[in-house]
Amino acid sequence: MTKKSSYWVAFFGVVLPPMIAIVVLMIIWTTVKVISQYPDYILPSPLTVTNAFWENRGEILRSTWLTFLSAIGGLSLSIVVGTSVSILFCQAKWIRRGLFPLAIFLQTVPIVAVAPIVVLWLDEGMIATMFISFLVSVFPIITNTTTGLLNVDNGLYELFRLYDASRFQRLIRLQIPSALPNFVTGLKVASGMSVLGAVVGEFFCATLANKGLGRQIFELKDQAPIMFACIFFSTMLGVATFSVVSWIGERFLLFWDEKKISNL
Amino acid sequence: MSDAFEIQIENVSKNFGDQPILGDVNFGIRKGEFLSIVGPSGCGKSTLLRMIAGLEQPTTGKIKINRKANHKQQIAFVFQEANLLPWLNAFENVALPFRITKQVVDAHLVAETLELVGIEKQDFKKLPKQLSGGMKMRVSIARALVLRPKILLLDEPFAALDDLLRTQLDQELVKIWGRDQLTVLFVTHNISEAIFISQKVAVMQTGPGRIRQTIDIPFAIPRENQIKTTTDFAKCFATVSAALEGAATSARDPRKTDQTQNDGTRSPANSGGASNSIGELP
Repeated sequence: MTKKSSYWVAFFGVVLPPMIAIVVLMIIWTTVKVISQYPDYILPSPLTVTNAFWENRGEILRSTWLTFLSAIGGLSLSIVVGTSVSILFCQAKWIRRGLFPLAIFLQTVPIVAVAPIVVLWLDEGMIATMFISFLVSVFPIITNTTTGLLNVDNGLYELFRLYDASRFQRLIRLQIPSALPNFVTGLKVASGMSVLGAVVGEFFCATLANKGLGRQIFELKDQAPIMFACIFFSTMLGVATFSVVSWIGERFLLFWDEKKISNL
Repeated sequence: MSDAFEIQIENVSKNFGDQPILGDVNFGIRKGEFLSIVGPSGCGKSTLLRMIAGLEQPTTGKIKINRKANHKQQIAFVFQEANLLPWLNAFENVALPFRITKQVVDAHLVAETLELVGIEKQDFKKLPKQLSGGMKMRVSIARALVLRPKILLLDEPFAALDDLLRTQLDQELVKIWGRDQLTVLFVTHNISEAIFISQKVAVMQTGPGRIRQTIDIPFAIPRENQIKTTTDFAKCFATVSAALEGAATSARDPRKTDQTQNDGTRSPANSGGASNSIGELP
């Protein structure tokens, strides 16, 4: 394949489909608006939202940046804590049995119920939003990574037995690399969740220094066009984080993966 | 004389749960010998090999290597699948035994071993997914040889490869065996391969698994592919086939098992074309 034609394939295969989907969505949105004649404070048109964004672009972009920082902070903490917990879990069955219910608790507890407690303990501010983002995003990393660490190819496991490998050798040289595909899957889910957690966290943390997208959405209930623009940006932030994390994961962690199917 | 055996299997039996897999195997392999084990599926030939490698423990009996029980350092094992770590390149896969056993990687030795099995320098950095099935197997053999073992155990290593490639790798394995003076135990279900590659072929039977008969292969080594078309090769083939057929029949008829066991392996006088000189301990 020539270089030029591969650019076209990339354009038609990767860029064009989501663009078409967005255009179709805008058409539907505008049509609903025109037909229903809803006022702007209930459903603003895409054009009104765009105008509202442009007029408040400085504020919205600054909020997006703050939310991004909270999400990245939460996600980083999830990666560190999640993988450590997974490594602990794969050491013995009784550890898994004892502590896994606590991990599930993290997943099932309603985050809006816990967030005020977090704010109470950590004070309003970015640290609290980061922590809420962490609480929401750590579970997918724990479950996926633990599964990966435990599902090692039997043939490779026997190879390590053959050379009398220590537990540590087996963990470092076999289990951790084997778990990377699962870890990346967990990371992708967690990356989207971390943005969600940051936005929810900001609902409860209202300092001037930490006025992220969540706080903007919360405060701008009566200014629907700007609120819609903030919602759009928080969504885009989630998509961007997910895409970047997926790309990094597959490019740098899974370059060796034979099972990866790239043409589906 | 049992002292001359490098691998000595004494009264070994193996059960998986209630299921007897191997029953009272007595067997020895001399230093520097190339022996193949053939047998119907489920006869426990792989289990026997895995017990020698220390991957399984015998239910009863003992396996001694050079009259010692602890022997892992001297033994290398080649699995049916290449079992390469997919995140490491060919070179790093071969260097792995050094790393697992906490030795300094001898890069020169790794490169030399890779070249010995026919991997060229430009392929050293390739990942397993970039290698063909045959090349993966070559890397796997290099990994087994890199710590310079005395004994090489192979569990149907070329079963997944096509005939041409299999013959080629068979010949290369024989060359390595001659060069490094290895003791080789080669499990296969391919009679022709067993005869082509080894000095002796041990035929196993099922129900539970035993060595039924050991047959000497008279051809000089190294062998050319053409010997497969000779009458002598056909005769060897017929002898091994007959032993295998007997093994299969005895598995279906337990009464006959004892009979053939007595005829075939316990008493040298009744072995016909077969030789028990290495096969059985007194």
